[in-house]
This record gives sequence, structure tokens and C-alpha cells, in this order.
Amino acid sequence: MNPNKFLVTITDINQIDLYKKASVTNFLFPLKDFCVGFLKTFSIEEIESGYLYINRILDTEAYQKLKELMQELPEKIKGLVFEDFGVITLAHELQLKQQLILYQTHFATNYQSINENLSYVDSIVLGTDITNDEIKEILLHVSKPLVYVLYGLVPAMYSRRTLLTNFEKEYHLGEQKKVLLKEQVSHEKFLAVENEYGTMLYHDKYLNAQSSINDAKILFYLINPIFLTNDEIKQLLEDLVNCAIRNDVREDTGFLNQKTIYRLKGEKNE
Amino acid sequence: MNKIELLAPAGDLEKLKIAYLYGADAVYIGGQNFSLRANAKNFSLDEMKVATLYAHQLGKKIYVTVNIVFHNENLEGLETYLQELDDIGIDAIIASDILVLQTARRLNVHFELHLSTQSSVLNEGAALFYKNLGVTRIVLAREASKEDIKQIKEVTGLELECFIHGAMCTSISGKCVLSNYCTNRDANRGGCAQVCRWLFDTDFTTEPFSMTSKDLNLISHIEEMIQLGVNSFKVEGRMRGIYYIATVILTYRLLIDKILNHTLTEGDMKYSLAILNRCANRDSTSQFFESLPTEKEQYFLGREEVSNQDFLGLVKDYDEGKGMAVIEERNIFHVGDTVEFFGPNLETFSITLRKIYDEEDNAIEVANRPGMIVKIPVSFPVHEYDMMRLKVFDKQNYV
Repeated sequence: MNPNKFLVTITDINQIDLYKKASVTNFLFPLKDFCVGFLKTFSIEEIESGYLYINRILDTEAYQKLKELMQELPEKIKGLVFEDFGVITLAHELQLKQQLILYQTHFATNYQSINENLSYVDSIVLGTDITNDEIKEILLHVSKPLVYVLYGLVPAMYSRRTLLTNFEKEYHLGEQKKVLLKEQVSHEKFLAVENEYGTMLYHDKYLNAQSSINDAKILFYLINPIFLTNDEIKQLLEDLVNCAIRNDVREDTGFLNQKTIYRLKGEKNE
Repeated sequence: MNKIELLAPAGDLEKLKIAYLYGADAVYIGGQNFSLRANAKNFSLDEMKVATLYAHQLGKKIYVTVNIVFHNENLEGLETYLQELDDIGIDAIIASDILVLQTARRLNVHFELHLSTQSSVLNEGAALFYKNLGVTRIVLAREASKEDIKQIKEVTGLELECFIHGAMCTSISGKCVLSNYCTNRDANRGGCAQVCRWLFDTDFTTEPFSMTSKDLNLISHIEEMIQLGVNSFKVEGRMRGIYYIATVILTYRLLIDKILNHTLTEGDMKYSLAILNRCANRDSTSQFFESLPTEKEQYFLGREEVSNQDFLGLVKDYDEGKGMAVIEERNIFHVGDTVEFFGPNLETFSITLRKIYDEEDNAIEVANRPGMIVKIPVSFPVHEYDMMRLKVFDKQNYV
């Protein structure tokens, strides 16, 4: 795979050299005050060049603050990757030149909706709750190249509540901003990460979505290597570039090969 | 002042009828496709026709949810379905997917487009985006604060609908697939298993981790919300029973009317709150309206619900000559119990049961089979669809 097409989420500014050595040129920075699920976020001043990640659902206060921040968005910012449709209005109003990439975490799951949304943005991050077959069908029909989540922790739940703080207050425990949760029945594990804007639960397996998909329909391969060490990242990049088969128990393929159900009593279409 | 609407849920025709009778101005329902309560009974197209006719005869409105997150396999039939809804004459759909909104526009449907809470709108920019797509009403995210409501209303002028009562997701709506991971059921296509109400172990304490939210209850903020420009006050619960719907809708109906007539007292408010809390079996709070919820707005150690069997029976008929009410039993009651009758056209009153008769007019001591028909002497006239509940609160104590 061509590392020029990787878009890597940055969680430590010191990792950038490591990525550059691996020929990665596109970086996604969780923007300070506008992201949940990250222990480290970045101000625009801290960023050399790259894309801004804005994954909060923006309330009125956050929207106004973002509007102020975007008034003089420097050219070093190549694009905005965002969850909230308010960003589209804002970008239009401020006549921003940057690329707009919609990342509605669980919503880009069919080609018709994606195509409708592509009328308003430059690209869309494909959902991670769909199967390989669904992805292939989507890529066959979409009108612009998409962003494909290739590797990393993927969100399973986003709450506006400070769930870890609330738990700690209830039981008078010490402050924790990152906690591993194991659901008692299914034993599925989730990594809860909290900041003042809410709590993100990531599925605790790193999604490894290496697959033979139509590269021409992919704008970027998104890599979200949060909480990996530098050595692990180095190995990961090498494996991804070489399309090597990885054998890491901390990884899985998510829903790529596992279709979800939603009706329990059979079809009711009649 | 904006026209104020009380909006009720209904999972089937009986619940829909109860909701309208007990004071809802509008009801929202789901069809058997494309709706987020995939495992509720929901409405067939024929039932929707009956429901729409019934609603419009009463001069009331009916909305249909078309709010799943579509996968490729769900696309087929959407256009036909929207056309069928238009032919039926429903008043609005509640949708979140841009595809549904755009398809409806292309079809030149007559119904309105309401944006579902699944779209999580909390700011004017997002609201304006959807306004440009033809949306006339936004169902705000449950996380909306009073500042969000005020600003969105002022800037967009759109109709705003807010949830005021019922269960809360821990997650922002639509931003959760815990169910997918833990049960393989797709939360965003109606298969949610409510995993946020389950317990978790953690890696740093033996205390079980819980993220369960208490219910939402904005009863004490209704007046303020009206002033902020909220048009529609929405009650959650398409899976709920008729007693819940009747109790909650009637309580809010009386409250809203008193607010609009400037006759609301503190006693009314306290009594209403007591009734609502008892009916829901769960604690409730105002959640995000005034400030960010804390641990006080959550349950720990699982769901601390107190179940009750307050709903004793449904009035089927009343013989004025004999002063005898015909009751369909729902929960056990005995001779000697003090019960309360309430209904849409009834000043709530209580009696102590002196006699109970079965269908053959034999005197019995206890009504103990759900669905059994019994007769009870009641000196005040009651009406079909009035309800009989255990008397728990005395309104006089709240005056």
C-alpha cells in the first residue's frame, strides 16, 4: 500500500518524525476543545501541517468558539474531518478553502446516503459497522473517493456525560481518564476515555481492515493507532505498506465478516 | 406565542387511541419498516390508514418515524414507502438520514419533514443545514441545554421539538453500537439491546461500573421551554403500555393547559411529579436542560427500579341507571381497596371498593385474573377508557 494515502491520527507530536520516515505525509490532529476520546489534543499553533479532527457534537457554545477559530484558518490546515453538520454551514459561511471530510461515526453505511452527503463535502469516512461486501458495493457506486478506516481503535459509544468522573465520584475513587471496561455478560471489552467534553468508549480490539478493496475509490486510508507504542507503530506501518498478514491478538476485523441483525422475530414486511 | 403541541408515542392502535383521548395533540408511530423500534408491534400500512383517519377526525396529527441508519440492503422500497405514506395522508415523517429527506423532496410529498433526534442537532449551523433541505421541524438532541434551544430558535425560526419525559440513552442518540458488539444486534436499525443499562467490570476497582441514566423529566421546566420557543413537547416510549401513556399524557396535558391559562399552582406541580415518578418506576431528572448531568443523574449498581401494580383496570362501560362500572382487570384488587379513577374527561376521584361482581353478577372478594371482566358500584359516572388505579397519593395533600 502507498503510505502517501495513509491519514494517521496523531496522539503525540513526537511521533510525526517516525511517520515521515515511513513516508506518511497526511496527519489528522484531534483539535483542542473540539474532540472526545483523546487524552492529548492539539491547538492549531502546535500543528505543522495536516487535517483537523473535530468529532464533538457541537453545542451552541462550541459552535461559536469553532466559528471564531475558523475565521483565520491558516493554509497549513489542509482539511477538516468532522462529525457535526454544523461544520458544513460554518465552512460555507466563512468560505473555507480546506477539504471537508464528513466522519459521522456510525452513519456512512450505504451508497445512496453517502452520495447525497457527497453533494456537500469532498469526502466521507466509511462506517465501521458494515461488512466487506457492503463496503465493496458502496465503493462501486459512490461519486467521489472515500476515506476507509484501515486500522485502529474504533468508537463504540460517545456520551456527553463524564462517565468515568461520575463513577469515581459515586464510589470516591481516584481520578481516571482511561479505563478498561469488561461487559459482564458478553465479556466484550471497551476502552473508556474521558475529557471534559464527554466519554468515548472504543472497542478494545484494534480494527484491522486490511482487505482487497478498490484503491481508486479511496482518498485516504485512515489509521487510528492511539495507545500504541512507537515500536508498535513502526511495525504496523511496515506491515500495512507491505500488506503483510499480521498476527496480533489485540486485533480483529470488526464487522467486516460479521453481519449484524436487528429483528428478532423474523420478517414483518408483509 | 407558538402553538404548543403535546406529542405522544404509540406502539399500536390501542395506544394511539388512548394517547389522543388522554390529551395528545399529535402521536408518532413506527411502520413495519425503516423504524428504530424494529421489535415493537408497529403499524402496517392498513393500520396507518385507520390511525390517520382517526387522528384527522379528531383534528389531531400523526407522524411516522423513518429513522433507521440505512444499509445497502435497506434501500429497496424506501421511495415506494414514502409515496404510500403520502397517499395515506400522514402529517410528517421523522427522519435522520439525508437520503430520506431528499427522496421525500424529490417525490414532492405533502407531509412535513421533521428531523429525528438521531441527527443530534445542538447548534444553529446544523439546524440551518437541515432547514435548507426542507426540514420544518428539528427534534433536538436530548443533550440540548436551554442556551442551545434559545439560540437555535432565534437564529433558525424552525419549529423545535424536545423530549420532555422518558428513558434516556447514555450515549448521544445514534452514536452507540455497544449493542452491535455485545449482542450482534444493530442498534441503529432498531435492534438496540440497551447495553448501557448493563454492568461492567473495570481494571482498577472491584466496584461494578454502571453508566445507566435516570429518566428524563422536564415537568418543572415546561413553562420556561414554552418561553424559549419550543413548539412540541415529546414523550418517549413507543414500547410502553396504555397505563403509562394515559398517565403521562394526561398529566402533561393538564399541566400545559394550566400553564397556558396561568392557573398552575405549586401544588399541581408537586402532585403531577409524584404521579409521574410513580408511573415510570424509575427516578427522573431534568438531565441536560440546566447543566451537565453528574453522578446524581445516573444509577449505579444496576437499575434501581421499583415495580408496582398500580394499574388495576380499564373502564369498558358504565351503567348510569345502576351506577355500575364494567372493568377489565389488569392487576389484582380486592374488596376494601381504595382505588382512584382518572380519565380525560374526569376529575380524578377515589372510592373504597365495597363490592365486586363477576360477569354473572356473583359477588366476589378479589379480581385476580388479567383481562377478567368485573362490575363495581361507582356512584360517579365514569366512561369507556377511563382507568382505575391504586390510590397512592391524595391530591388534597398537595393543594
